[in-house]
Amino acid sequence: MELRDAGKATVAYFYFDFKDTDKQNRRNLLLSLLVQLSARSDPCCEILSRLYSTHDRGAQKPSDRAMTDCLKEMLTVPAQCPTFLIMDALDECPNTSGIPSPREQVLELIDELVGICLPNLHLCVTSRPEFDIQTVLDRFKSRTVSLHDETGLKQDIIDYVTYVVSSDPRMRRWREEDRDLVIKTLSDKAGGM
Amino acid sequence: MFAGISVLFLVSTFLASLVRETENFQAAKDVSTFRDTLLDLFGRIEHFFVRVEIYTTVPPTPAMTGIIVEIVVEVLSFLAIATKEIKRGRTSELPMDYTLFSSDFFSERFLKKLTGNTDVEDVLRRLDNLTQEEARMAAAQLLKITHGVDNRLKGVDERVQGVGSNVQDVGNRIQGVDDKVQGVDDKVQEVGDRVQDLDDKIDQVNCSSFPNTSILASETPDLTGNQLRDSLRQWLSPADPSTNYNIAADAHHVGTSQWFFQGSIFKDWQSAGSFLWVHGNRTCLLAFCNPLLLIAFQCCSGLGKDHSLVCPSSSSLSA
Repeated sequence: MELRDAGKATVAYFYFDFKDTDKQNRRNLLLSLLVQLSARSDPCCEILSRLYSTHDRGAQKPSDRAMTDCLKEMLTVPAQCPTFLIMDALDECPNTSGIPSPREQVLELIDELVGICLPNLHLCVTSRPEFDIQTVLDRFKSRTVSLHDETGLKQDIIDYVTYVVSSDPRMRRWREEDRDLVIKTLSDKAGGM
Repeated sequence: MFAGISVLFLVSTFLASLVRETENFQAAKDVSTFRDTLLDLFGRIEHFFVRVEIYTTVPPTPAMTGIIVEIVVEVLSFLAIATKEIKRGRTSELPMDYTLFSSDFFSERFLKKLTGNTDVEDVLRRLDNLTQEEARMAAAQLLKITHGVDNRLKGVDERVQGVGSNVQDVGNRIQGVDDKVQGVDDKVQEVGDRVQDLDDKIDQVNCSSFPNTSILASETPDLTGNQLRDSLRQWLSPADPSTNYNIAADAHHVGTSQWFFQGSIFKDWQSAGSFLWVHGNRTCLLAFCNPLLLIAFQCCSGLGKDHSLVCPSSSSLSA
């Protein structure tokens, strides 16, 4: 089944970014997901409106707990269509300070969302295979894709390097054996980037 | 028949009255006085027969009938005696003719003739007693009838009272029916109220089922859906992930990651609710995440349609 055949679905995503301090913790993640879901779903908008009303019509900010409950309520709306939540680069959420650290808090949230076993929730997390992340996510015994081991991805990289070297005006003036060396070297080393 | 009897007894009445006056006023020498008394008695006997006519139309009691019969018998007895005396007198004195009763002369002589006849005196005495008995019996019968009428009137009065009670009873029942109708009316009103309550509850259920409209209407009446969403966004002020998305989209190379989206892991994750962890180095992730989002947005909300798949820049790679 292609996604385009799935009818109405809701997508919300978040990029953790070590260069942007507004994209490095659970609160940033929750704020973004709630607003995105409410923008794309009337029932979700209503749920967030109630949160708004219970916080003196926006005079107070919601706690992480309140926002987590709100998100879970949105995901459990009876008529809710499939919801895709995509969190990219979890490893860029820092784990160097705080008890629990921001990354641990995000992992707690992921653990809570996966724990309620919603049939309409499709959650995808991408990250480097760092130890603390792997320790938590391996518990779910869920589908895991290791891009490093995928030959398909290696071929993507070879194709890409070949395209760049052969299309760049300056590189095109290189000798052919030099260009082959560059392509081979970059492709072999790409897995470690 | 009674007409003939009446004529007969007119004669006897005259004679009886004459005898009675003779008895009562035996010492009297005034014949005209006798005649007046006789006429009075004649009238009384005449009145008796008038009453007899009434008795024949209104059946008298057995006691009264006996008295009447005795009276008639006595009158006939007197008539027989008088007839015998008249026959005897006619042979020796004067011839009888139709002027007999109007003749003062005859009357005087006839009365004198009858005077001293004990049979006639007995008959007249009994006749007088019988007429008195008749009058008393008639009075007693009248009293009895009156009493019966009174009893009947009492019965009628009781029945009227009974009818009155029945009317009162019917009135009470009508009142009862009226109360019941009122009760039915109250119940109808009660049912109406319950229907109204149910209607209100249905409205509440509808509001909770489609709460977005109710919230918009009741709590933020001045906001449209888009205005409400703007308010919510302004309240939470989230970081904008689309900047990252755009950078990654610009760095994407056409044709990459097709191996993943055509594989079974992705299709399983897409069709069944589940969790997917994709790990790799940063370059790998750059090549992966945006195609995933692109497909999702194109299918779900139309966002991202304008993004073309282009080669990542060298700066993206170095990052």
